[in-house]
Amino acid sequence: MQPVTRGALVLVATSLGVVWGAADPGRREADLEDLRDGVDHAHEAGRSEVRPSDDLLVLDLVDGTDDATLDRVEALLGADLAWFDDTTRDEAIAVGRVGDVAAALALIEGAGLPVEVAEAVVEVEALGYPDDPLFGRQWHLPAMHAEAGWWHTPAGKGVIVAVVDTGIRAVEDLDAGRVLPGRSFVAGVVSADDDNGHGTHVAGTIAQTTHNGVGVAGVAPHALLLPVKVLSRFGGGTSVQVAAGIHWAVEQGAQVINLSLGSGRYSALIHHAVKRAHRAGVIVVAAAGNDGGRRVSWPGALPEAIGVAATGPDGSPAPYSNAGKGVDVAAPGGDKRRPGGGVWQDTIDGEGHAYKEFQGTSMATPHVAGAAAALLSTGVLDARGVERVLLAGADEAAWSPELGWGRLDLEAALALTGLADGMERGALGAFFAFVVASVGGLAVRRRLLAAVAGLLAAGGVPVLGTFGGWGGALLSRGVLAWPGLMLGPSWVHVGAWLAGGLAIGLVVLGGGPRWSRAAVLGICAGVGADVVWVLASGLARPWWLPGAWSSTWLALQAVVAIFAALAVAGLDRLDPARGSAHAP
Amino acid sequence: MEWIGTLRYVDLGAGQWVLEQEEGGEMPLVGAVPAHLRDHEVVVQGRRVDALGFGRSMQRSIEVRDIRPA
Repeated sequence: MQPVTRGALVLVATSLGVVWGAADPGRREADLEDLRDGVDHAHEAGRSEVRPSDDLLVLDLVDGTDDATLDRVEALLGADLAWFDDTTRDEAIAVGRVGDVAAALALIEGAGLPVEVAEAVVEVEALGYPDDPLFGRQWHLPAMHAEAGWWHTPAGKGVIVAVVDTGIRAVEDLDAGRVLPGRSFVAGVVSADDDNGHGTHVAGTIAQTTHNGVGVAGVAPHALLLPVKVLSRFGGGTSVQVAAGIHWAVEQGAQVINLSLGSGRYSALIHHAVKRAHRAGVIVVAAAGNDGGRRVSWPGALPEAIGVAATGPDGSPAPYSNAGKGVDVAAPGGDKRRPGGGVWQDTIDGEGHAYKEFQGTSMATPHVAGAAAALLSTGVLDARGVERVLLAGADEAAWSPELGWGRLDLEAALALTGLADGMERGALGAFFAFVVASVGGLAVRRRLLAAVAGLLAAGGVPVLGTFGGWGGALLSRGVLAWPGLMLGPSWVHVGAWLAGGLAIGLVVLGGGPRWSRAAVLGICAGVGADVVWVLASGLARPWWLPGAWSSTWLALQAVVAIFAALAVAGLDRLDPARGSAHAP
Repeated sequence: MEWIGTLRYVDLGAGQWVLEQEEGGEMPLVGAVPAHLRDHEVVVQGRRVDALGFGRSMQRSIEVRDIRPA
């Protein structure tokens, strides 16, 4: 982005904020932040609409103009003007609402003031995705690249996320159809309806209804929410309630459990429940705690849970966030010392609802839970794979007590799943297939055919995924991903684990006829290449084999698949019908 | 049991009441708290519990039975 263009856009946003909040400096600052953010998002996404304002004026005064001169301008126009931004104060750009821009321009022209440019403000309106009008306030979603999940995953579709908290209420901006029947474990409370506001806010971060023209957005807006009420309307609960809630969530098929709660005391009961969930293939995400101390609260500190610390709008650790062993990753939790610096979601407000900003590791945790749901919904990884890429995709090179492995980055995690690597995997498959076909002495045309088959087998045609549907999803990925896509996250690694058998089967079925040999050779070589890629990425090591045996097993699959391809080439060499099709 | 301290509101999560004690430390309060006593010295009657919550959580909580000005 050109600095001047960016400055102009920020100016527009700022000017609107100055005028809106003229009567209240605190609110004015908050509005300025909102508008800067909103306009920046719109512009960065290349989706904006501009129109001149009737009564908003912008003045670019001579650089270095002081406050006294601005006061003179204000007196002349009878309007309240303000410098638009401290960081560009030297540029002496001021904005304000003047009632009639044309009249103000006429006054300025004849006054001999040190004005370089004066014109009506051009207002910018964000368009495109998401169209939630308060999305501009949600600095925390771009901060963890939630948009990557919206564009490149099914956004949590079909994934059940249990919110073990104060309950969930389907407020205005939360689609009731995605809130599953819940259960309360609080004595005397029958319903899992939220009577505090915390749980609904947390649920909103995970799966707020998004792009509905209302309110705010969420990380995985197609995920299903399972309300598990374990905290009372005062926000407190016991280890018995929490453990029972976790057990119940697992029984209901939850794939992710969000625990935005904690205690300074270890509970073996909760640990047992979390271990059981972990063994069942559930991702457990828990808050690090809000005491600003050097010890992480339980269950966030449990090794089976992803412990989440909080960061503020500038990405630095939030002052309240606990640090220490047990912190695995950091996510936006907010810092309300900055106006608008909390996490914004829709939640209850008495009998109604309101868009509120909360702060805490409670707010950081659902960003991670939502990201986990988005990744699971791709069908590429199982729970352990998702945990690995979430941590590997975080932005620090080394672990630290404050940030764990770094700040959550969904885009980076997606890249690690291989979703962003389809082209590379396809190229590797094509290369392997071409080499094997060349070694086998196939004619050039058949080598190219084998290379195309290798490319498709390893990487698919990623662009087809954008068309949706089963067919598109399958053809957009390499064949090793097909079991996961067809049968669910538990099957995502089966293709790689059994690649050798797949290749042998292909040779048996299609290696005989000469017309199909090049394609079969290419598919086998492509599958072998893809297993090599999977092995190198470390994403799909068989959990049922200990230590180095898991890598050995995958290497064996790659070798078998490539030998199968060579066998097809050998069959072709022995074929008396080769004739003139021989390679030179 | 009875505790004396200053009633504070902590802006974490959906908000939390704590009893700030002179010797340091904040004990989370679970139960109905009269908001008008915010930042006042109060006497809290109740019992200590190992509660889980979303605000400050490292110290044991007080399950509130009664709060009155000190």
